[in-house]
Amino acid sequence: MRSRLQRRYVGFALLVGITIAASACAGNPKPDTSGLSPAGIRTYRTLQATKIVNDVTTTAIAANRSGQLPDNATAQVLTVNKQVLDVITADPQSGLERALVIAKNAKDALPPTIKALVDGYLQRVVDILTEVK
Amino acid sequence: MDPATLQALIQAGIAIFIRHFNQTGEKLTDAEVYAALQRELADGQTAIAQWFTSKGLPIPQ
Repeated sequence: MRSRLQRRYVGFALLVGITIAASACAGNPKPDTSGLSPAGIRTYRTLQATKIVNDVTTTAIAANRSGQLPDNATAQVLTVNKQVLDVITADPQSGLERALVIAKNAKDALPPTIKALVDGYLQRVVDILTEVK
Repeated sequence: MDPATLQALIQAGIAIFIRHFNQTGEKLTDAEVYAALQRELADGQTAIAQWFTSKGLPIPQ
């Protein structure tokens, strides 16, 4: 028969195991935005969009480094992304709508020679801006 | 070590762990979000500028 101390050890081990399992299942918890003002929530959405735009930049540069994306196509993606960042910097509250127009126009005006290469990158920028604006 | 002391130590350890776990759900403030956005914008601009510079191309205005 187990002693009182042994039962406590078993209980403790169970509790730690359950807590660790719950922690692992939770992964990276979502930041708590409940304390943000409406302007803060808008800024948070702009931050989310900016992170995606920067991720597109990083992906394009990596593809260029590995020889999958030529310099002129990379320059096209990065030029659009810079314009998007410039607009957001100038007006973090309402720059997203202008940024979306810039990205859409750039995507529509892509030269046929690089359209197939660049379209996917710019579509990702258009998608995230459409979602958060 | 007597069982009561051991129990107290275990409970204290659990309390610290649970407090730490709860704190991982970061509660944001307006100022933190604004600062994070400024950092993200600056990082993006830097990455773009570095690529153009590395290619000997002018940074688009």
